[in-house]
Amino acid sequence: MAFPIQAFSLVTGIFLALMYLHFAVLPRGISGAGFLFDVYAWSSLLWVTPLVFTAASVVGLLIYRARSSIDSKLEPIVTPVAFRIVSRGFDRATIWKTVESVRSSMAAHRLFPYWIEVVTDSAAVALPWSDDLRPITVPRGYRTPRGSLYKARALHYALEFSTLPDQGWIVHLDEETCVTPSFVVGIRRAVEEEERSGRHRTGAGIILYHHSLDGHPFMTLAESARSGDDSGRYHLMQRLGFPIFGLHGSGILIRNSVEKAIGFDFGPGGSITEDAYLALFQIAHGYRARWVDGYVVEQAAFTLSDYLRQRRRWFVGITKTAMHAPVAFRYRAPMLVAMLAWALSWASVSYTYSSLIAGSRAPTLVVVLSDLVLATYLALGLIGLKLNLDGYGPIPLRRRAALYVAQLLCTPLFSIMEGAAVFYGLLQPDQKFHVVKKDANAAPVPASTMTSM
Amino acid sequence: MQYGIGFGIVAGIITGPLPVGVLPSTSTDPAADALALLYAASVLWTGLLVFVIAVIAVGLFRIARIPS
Repeated sequence: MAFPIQAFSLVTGIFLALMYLHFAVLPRGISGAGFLFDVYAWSSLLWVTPLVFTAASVVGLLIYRARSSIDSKLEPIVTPVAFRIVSRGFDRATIWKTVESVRSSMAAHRLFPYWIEVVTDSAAVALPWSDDLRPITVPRGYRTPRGSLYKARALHYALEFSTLPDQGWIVHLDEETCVTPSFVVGIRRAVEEEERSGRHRTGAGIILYHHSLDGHPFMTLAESARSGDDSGRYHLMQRLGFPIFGLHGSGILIRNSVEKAIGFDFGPGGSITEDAYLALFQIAHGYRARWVDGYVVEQAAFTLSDYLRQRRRWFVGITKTAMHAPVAFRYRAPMLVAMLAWALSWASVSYTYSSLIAGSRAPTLVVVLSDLVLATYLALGLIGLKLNLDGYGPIPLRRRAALYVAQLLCTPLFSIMEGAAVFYGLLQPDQKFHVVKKDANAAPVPASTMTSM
Repeated sequence: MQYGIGFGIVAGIITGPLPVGVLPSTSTDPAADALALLYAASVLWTGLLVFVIAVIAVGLFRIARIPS
């Protein structure tokens, strides 16, 4: 069955089930007269604050068309591609695994000339220079004109140091971002189309997290909704050409000339989530976005502490971007609205459990809309899990079923975790670039290609 | 430890709504009890809402002050 039909059926099925629960099974709740009762009842509007993003997710899912990566007619192209891995340089094993994933995926589909650039703040990893591997160490005293920090500083230095020609393309990877053969095929198609059309749009695909499924199943399930969100909301924005909610920091395909025109010198405030700055700057500079069919695989945050700190960085960094990125307000406004909705998420979660205990009655329209929001959130988690399990490889039916049930049952916990991370960000808006712990022994990249659901 | 907390929260979610309208009540006036509970929740929530607005306002202000 095609992906959009599956997704539509899932969202509709869960929505109808929730409506049935609300209006036919569960007690309808009570309401009282008076100001405090009214405040309590109408606070249920918190549930519908993500409605716009829900609608975007549903539309994105409905137009998702994964092309099969198995296409013998694909001819190699001559445009060079640099896989640019950025790391602090402390975890050689994880970096090496990423390098090997690029090599094995390129061996499966040798569709363009490539090399791998590993950009680190430390030379301690001591990677060997070879035909396809070019270590770049950022000098300790290097400073960008605007004083950018962390990853943005390293990326800006790489732009100056790299020998990649302007017509070449860059694939941005984090130190644990493993490339799959499907992504190589997606890159080949995207580069050829963009060079032919001359539009030079920036591409992105779906990030999976199944590498940590065996060691950290709970935390991996917590990331499922992100993969689902990639195939929904982010997919829609890429297809429209305007990544108004930002870009992920890895799995980005961008032409070197475009990246040089924008740079990564966003200053300290733009260095917390430099990917969000990049998204807004490229829109403001007149560049557009596109979808790349294919997957890269990352690792979930292994601990609750890492999870909270990572989300806090995203919340603080993207909010800072939405507030102060020097682009027209109309470009920043959607990101600002998204961050305000995210800032309210912990209040929404608190209200949900409070009203469950108190047995309050929310207005009927609010209940219907919030059921749609919740149905979409649940569906994104399940769709994301399916994408991850398909990428994971063969898995016994019993374990697969158990993971789907666990995904559903744990969703209330995941929403609490997300809300807690935002609350943490509001209480302690730390501007540091927290890097989560990685595990080089996570599952290997499967050799099989996979782009269809 | 996080799993222990998780199970505790799930147990709370499952058992939380049960006293209201699901379990048989021994009260002589269950409707009045439910309304009293709702009133208490409304008072607490209104207070929390002030806290929510304050936390968000202060948090966003501090984020805005991060050097650009």
